[in-house]
Amino acid sequence: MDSFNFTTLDKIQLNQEVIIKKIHHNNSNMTRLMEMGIIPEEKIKILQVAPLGDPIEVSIMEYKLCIRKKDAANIEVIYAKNS
Amino acid sequence: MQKIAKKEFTIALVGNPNTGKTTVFNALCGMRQRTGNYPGVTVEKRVGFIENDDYILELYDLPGLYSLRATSNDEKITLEVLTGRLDKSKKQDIILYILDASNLKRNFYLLLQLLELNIPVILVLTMIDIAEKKGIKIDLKELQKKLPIPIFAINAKNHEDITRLKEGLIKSISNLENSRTNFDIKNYYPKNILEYYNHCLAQFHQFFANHHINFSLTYPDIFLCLTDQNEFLLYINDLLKENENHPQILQELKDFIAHIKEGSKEFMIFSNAQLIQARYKIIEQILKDVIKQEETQEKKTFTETLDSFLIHKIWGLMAFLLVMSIMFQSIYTWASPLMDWIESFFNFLKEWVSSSGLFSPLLESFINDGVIGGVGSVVVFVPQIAILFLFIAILEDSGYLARASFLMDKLLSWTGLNGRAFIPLISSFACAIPGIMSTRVISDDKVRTSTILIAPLMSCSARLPVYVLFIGTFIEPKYGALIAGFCLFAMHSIGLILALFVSLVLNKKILKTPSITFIMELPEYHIPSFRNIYFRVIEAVKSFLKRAGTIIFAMSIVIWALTYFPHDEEAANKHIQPFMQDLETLIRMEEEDLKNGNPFPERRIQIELLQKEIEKEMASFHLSNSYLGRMGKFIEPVFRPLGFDWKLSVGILASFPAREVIISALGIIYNVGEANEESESLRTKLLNEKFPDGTPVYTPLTAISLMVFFALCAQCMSTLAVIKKELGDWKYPVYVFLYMTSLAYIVALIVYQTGKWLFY
Repeated sequence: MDSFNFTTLDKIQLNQEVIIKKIHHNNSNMTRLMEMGIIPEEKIKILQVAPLGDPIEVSIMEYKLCIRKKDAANIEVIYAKNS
Repeated sequence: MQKIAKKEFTIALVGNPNTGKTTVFNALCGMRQRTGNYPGVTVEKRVGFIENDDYILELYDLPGLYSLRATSNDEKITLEVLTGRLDKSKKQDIILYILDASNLKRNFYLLLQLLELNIPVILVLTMIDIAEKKGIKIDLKELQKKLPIPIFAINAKNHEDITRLKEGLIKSISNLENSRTNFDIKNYYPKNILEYYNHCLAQFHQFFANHHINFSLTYPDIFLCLTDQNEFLLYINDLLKENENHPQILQELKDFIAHIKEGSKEFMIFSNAQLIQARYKIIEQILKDVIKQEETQEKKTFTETLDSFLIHKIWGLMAFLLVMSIMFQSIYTWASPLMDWIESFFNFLKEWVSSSGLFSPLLESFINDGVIGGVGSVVVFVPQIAILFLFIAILEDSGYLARASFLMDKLLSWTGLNGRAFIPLISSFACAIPGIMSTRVISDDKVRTSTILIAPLMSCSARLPVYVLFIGTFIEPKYGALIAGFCLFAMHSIGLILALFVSLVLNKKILKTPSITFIMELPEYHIPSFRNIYFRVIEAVKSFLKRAGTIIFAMSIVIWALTYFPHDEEAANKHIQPFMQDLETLIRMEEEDLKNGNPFPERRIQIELLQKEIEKEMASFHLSNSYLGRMGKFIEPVFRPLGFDWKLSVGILASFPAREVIISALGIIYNVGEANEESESLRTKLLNEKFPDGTPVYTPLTAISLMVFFALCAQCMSTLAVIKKELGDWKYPVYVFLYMTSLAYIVALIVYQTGKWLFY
């Protein structure tokens, strides 16, 4: 069991579903992301990485969102239990 | 029967981006719509009308947004239109909120904020079919129970659904008049948060009352204040501008906000995140029994299948290059026959004016070179604008534009721009005018501004003739095709490379945009709606003709006057006196030939040649003695260190309104008459041109220096006019003109002086 396995979203593998634990909320961009549904307890996963390595496409709530890795590093996540 | 005045209502159409809001608007209003701008900002204002026997409904299609937190122009305008701050008489009666049913949760976030405003809201659910494909079942009856406001579920492309919505809209309006429902979203809010909001509102109310300001805040304002104090102060600053003590009030407001924030702990609120999470908790509560997610067998949706190809590391980039090259080629190839046609039409008009003999020489020149030339230089851009917007509308409506931005973001991120800037920049290689207009796809105001400011550095197609002439005359014959090709490539790259550095400096040092990032929804793919594309193209063309066109036209008249006056006929006649004497001699000889019964056909040819020569000499004399010509001579010392003589200086000055003019201007100055970039006579003239001391004016180095100058200089009044139109302030075209012209001068100077030092 690695239920204490905290990490940040930019370090997650493709298609690995994780749960958002905490948002390091330090600027207006993070507020915008939270308003768009990136909030604690939501499931999130990385679907694609752009050919040049950044940004990434994530699936959140019922839709797909593109964010930069720099912002993803502010999103603390934990692996879902059944994975 | 007595005629009763129709009742008028204003309705605001609000929704997240990609919800099909504009499709609904176009379907509801059809052709009954017009566009404009909101005062002071360049957010597009679209208003449409629905009318029946009893009602006139005025619909405002507001920009698509995710939140009412007024941090961007789009959000500010929306909030101001809704609250009636922008125009007191136009407070919105009703909000028509369009939601994407396949993505209800996030769409509800903005809905909550709208409901907080205490304006009646009507819900319209679209994309039910997509929701069902995703395995989402929506229980409308349950939703209606939780939210007792009018709710419609429609397919925006279905005619019957739209008729039903129209009828429903009118019915709900008449119901609104009779009975106000006492539904209040705030009943759903946690007690501590509601109390905190109300506490803040009351405190602010007191604050403004103390300062005798008649001004009331709303929940979304409070939310902005709590989450982003700086943006809130900027926003209040705009609203208070007219108040004379506003700097002092703002200072007090800062301390006041700190005090209010301090108070949040008493309400058990410890972070802004809590306020956002609270909203989503409410949404969950409302949607709990409404949405039923059926287990799908993890089958990929159509969008996911397409995406695994279109944003794939290799295939994605190839598809992107293909799309871009098709778009780019079309702008070049489809537009050029249309542009030629427009040009020949205006030439035909000019010839008609000249041959009609109805006008004095001054009037003829004014009509031909001023008026017709001016109108022509506006209309000639229409094909490119229409074609680019056709592509952009298709790419945006289908959902591909977002993918293209996703692919290209990294290339631009280090300069402070983001992926959205890519298409406007690439389009500017054809022509900066449609390119700048297409920056409307950029939602971030600062990114949009800096993209507009660097777009004119892209090497547009009007620079090509200049490169062709000078490379063809000085580089290719001497160094071969390979070097010539490289030279052409280098000229196209220099603008792009410098543009990226300009953007870097601009974003980091001048606009100071530390927090720029790239947050963008990747919507589901759709088949684009024909109607949306049609309106998009028509709007782009119309707004260009109306707003930029008038400025371009006025500038054309001024430039014409500068090149025409003082038009001293007497001096010109004196100048061509020796030629006239030759001509007279020739004519006398011809008469004698005839008298002697010995006609000499070559004599006629000689006479005609000389007459043409005189005409060219006259034109050349008038241009070099016009105000513009005099300015060229005056300014020659400035251009000498770049290797240019006074004739080139006149040519450069004459081509400030439009760079392609340099070739015809050189044609006139060098007495070769009508010239284009391929004309041999002009090339020979240039090769043989000498300074007074006998050294050639043009060396390959001068040619390179000149091309670099043209690659970087702001020689296009239409671009400047469009920048003014898009950014709404004259200071921006002035900045662009100054920075580009100095950049051009400095880089050309470095190139010429280094070259001279190295090779000569």
